[in-house]
Parts: sequence; C-alpha cells; structure tokens
Amino acid sequence: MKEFEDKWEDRINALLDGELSASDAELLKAEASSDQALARAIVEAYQLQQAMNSIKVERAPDSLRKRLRAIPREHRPQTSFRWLQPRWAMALAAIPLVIIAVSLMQPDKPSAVEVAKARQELAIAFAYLDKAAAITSREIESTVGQTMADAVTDSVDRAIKTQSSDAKEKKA
Amino acid sequence: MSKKYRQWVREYQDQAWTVARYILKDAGEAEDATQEAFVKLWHNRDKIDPERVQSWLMKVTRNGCLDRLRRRRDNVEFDESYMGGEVSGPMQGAAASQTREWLKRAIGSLKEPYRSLVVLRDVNQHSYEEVASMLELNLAQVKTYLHRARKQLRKQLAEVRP
Amino acid sequence: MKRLLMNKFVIGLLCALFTLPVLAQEDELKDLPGYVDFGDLSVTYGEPKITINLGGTMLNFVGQMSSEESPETSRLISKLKGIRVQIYNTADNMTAATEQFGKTKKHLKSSGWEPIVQVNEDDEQVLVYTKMADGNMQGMTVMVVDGEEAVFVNVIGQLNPTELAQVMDKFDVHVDLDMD
Repeated sequence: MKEFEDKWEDRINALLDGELSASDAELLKAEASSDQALARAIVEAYQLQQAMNSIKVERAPDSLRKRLRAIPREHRPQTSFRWLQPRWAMALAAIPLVIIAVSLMQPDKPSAVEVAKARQELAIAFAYLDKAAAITSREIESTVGQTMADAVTDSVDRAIKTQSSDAKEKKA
Repeated sequence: MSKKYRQWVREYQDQAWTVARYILKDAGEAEDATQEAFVKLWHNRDKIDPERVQSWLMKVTRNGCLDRLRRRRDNVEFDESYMGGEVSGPMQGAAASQTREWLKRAIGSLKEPYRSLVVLRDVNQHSYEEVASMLELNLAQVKTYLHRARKQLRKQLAEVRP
Repeated sequence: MKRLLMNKFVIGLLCALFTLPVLAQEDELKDLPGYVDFGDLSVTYGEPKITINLGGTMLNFVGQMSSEESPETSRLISKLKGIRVQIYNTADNMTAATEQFGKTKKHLKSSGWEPIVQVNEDDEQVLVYTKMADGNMQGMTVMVVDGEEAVFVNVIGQLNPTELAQVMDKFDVHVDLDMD
C-alpha cells in the first residue's frame, strides 16, 4: 500500500509541477475517476498548491535592508589614496626645499610631482564619471534589457552630439 | 559599494530573509542570520561563480540558521505568533488570508529538511536543481523529501479545513 | 631657537605655496559658463573625503605628459578647461545630499542646463546635465548619491563619454572604487 501511495505521490507532484506528459496526465485522471482515494489526493494536492501560491517571498524589513547595505562599508579596509600616504609626503620631503619653492613660484611650470598628482586626480574624476555611466547603464539594462541598454547608452552619446549639431544649424 | 554586491542584495535579500524567517521564526534572529550570510557573501564575492550566487547564498543562509537552532537552548523563547508553535485546531472560516497564515505556521512546524525544501521550492520558487545544490542532495532525494512534505501539509490542511 | 623659527617659516611658506595654486585653480574656473556651485555639505557629512580642482593650466600639463603614451588621452584632456570633484561619505544618510541634488537641479534648469540622464532608486540617484552653447559643450555635471557616498563632478569644457570610455584603461587608477 505504501509503495502504491508513493507511486501516486510522484505522479501527483509531477502533475502539479507540469512535468507529467499529456498522455500520462490523462492516464492519471482516468485512474482517479474510478479511485476515490486517488481523486481526493489529487484535489487536496491542487488545494495545497493554490494555498502555496498565495504565500509570497517576504519583504525583508527596512532595518535588515539597511544593515545589508552597510556591510561593504563596515567590512572593508579604509580606502587609501597614494598621495595621502605618509610615504608620499616623506618622498616629497626628500626633495630639496629650494627646488620645491622655486618650482611652485613659477605658476606656468608646475613640478613633476604636482603634475603627477594632478594626473592621479584626473584619473579619480574620470573613474567616478565612469561609475555614473555604469550605474546608468545597469539601471537601463535591468529595466529594458541588454540590447536596449546599449541602444539607449549610444543614444545618450548621440543626444549630446545632436544637441551640438542642432545648435550649429540654428546658428547657420 | 560594489556594484555586483548591491545587485545581489537587491535580488536576494527577500529570499534569504524568507528562508531565515521560516527556519528561525524569531524576526531578530532571522535578521542576524541573514546579515551573517551576506557578510560571508561580501567576503567571498570574488570567489563565487556569479551563476551560482543565489544557490550559494541560500545554502549559507540555511546552514547558518540551522547552526543557530542547534546552539539555541530549549528555554529560549521566540516569537511564535508569526509561524511557530503547534498547528492545531480547525481554521475559523475559510478566508484565504487565514489559510495563508495557517499554512505558514504549518510550514514552520515541519522538520528539516522538509521545511527548507518547501520554503526553497514552493515559496521561493527555486528549481529542483537549485534546491538540490543548496541542500547538497541529489535530485531524486529532493523530490522524494519534498513529496513527503507536501503530503504531510496536504493531510493537515484537509483536517483543519471546515 | 633660530633653527626652530626657520623651520616654521619654511613649513609655513610651503603650506602657503601649496594652497595658493589650488585656490587659484578654483578661482579661475568660477567665471567659466560650465562651472557649477555644488554648495557645501560639510555641515552634515564633515569635510569631503575627496576634493579635486583642476584648472586649465594644470590640465594642459597633464595632457602634455600624456601626449606620447596616449594621444587619445591627450586629445580628450585638451578639450577640458577644468574638472572639479567633491565626494562626501554619506554613511547611509542620503537626506542632505538628496536635498542638495534638488537645489542644484533647480539651479541647473534655470541656467540653461539640459538633463541627459536621471536615475531615481530608493538607495541610489544619478543625475547628468550638460550645458551647450553654439553647438559646443560648455560643461557637464554628474551627481551620484547612494548609501556610501555623495559624488559631485563638474566637467568644464567638452567631454565625449565614448572617448572617455576608450581612454579609461590608459589611466592607472590606484584607488579602490569598487568598480566591479
């Protein structure tokens, strides 16, 4: 009896999961029409499935959402920027003071150290611009899909160029 | 913040929370357990195959919850009003919301691994293959245990429905 | 005693000399049409964790330095008149930064800036505006706020996003921006 019931269970569950072939499903239903216990089991299984469908994934509480967002901040080492490292300052101190003073007094010719620092700062600025572009692209992608995301991102670029050419035409 | 990590939080925080809530029942503990799982995710974010993050996270969440259950002393009280405690007595009326609340309690009262199987497959809607990976069972075991769990719930539902 | 005074004098001179170029750089930018005043969020968030003010003069030198290794980078930089960045740690308090966004947005709209991109999520906002005149870009403003940071970037001059993407890997960025 137990083996027979287990065999029912497999087929009933396969029926509910949509994994039973059409012909096997018809066979099961035909059996159920002459077997009350089987018919009752199928009905109960459908009732349970309906009840399950009404149970949704629970929304995580706001307190938990906040905690999860805070994890990277709380669990990573301090961001460090090269020119803020003590060794950068110490390297600077090694350059004779006279040379630094003379270089800085020539506004049209910054020192190599200053230019290198500026280059690094420029890289930082560009990296944040790139980050903004990546966020935008990701948001578009999650909304409209990858293909459309590329099209939209390209069209942002075209929008800037179009604004430019429209204005030039008006001027002409 | 890591772009990847943020996306994972958005996509999976509710599912992980649901698993923790059903297993631990207590909301505070479930929050702690969920956070622990995401901390592990953060520390391992570069090592996990992006295709398997969901499975990995659900497995870690569940295992963390089970560890907490084992450590829990018998006299520690937890919030039973949500879905804990005995499932007994007929439902008053057949309102859908009452059925839902009853079913949540019934799922919460299942033993492991049946409870996890039902939550992961029927509530969170993971595929059989994903559930197998999360629980480190083979496909046949997942189906067999899940069918038993559903049968148990079915019978309980039939008994309490007016 | 004399040596101590001398050292203090030298340190003071160095500080003044280091500060002067930075202030001079920002001053020279304020009169440019692509310049945007981001306001000051230090009352809420403390001092910005990053402040960058690069004027045209310094950018020229950077461009010259890059010309041999990367002509594309040099070309990109040559169209810039200035770049300003301010970044604050928001520590999950987005309110003040979001309010500043709103104020800056109003100011930009009333000053002829055009919106290009706007992303509005519960935990993240992005705004991108450009200013055009006679067919040329005069400036771009990018603002990003999330639970970690409030980022304000003002590009004065012309910047093509596609060209920027192409030269990004030429820059050896030694900072952890968690760009993955």
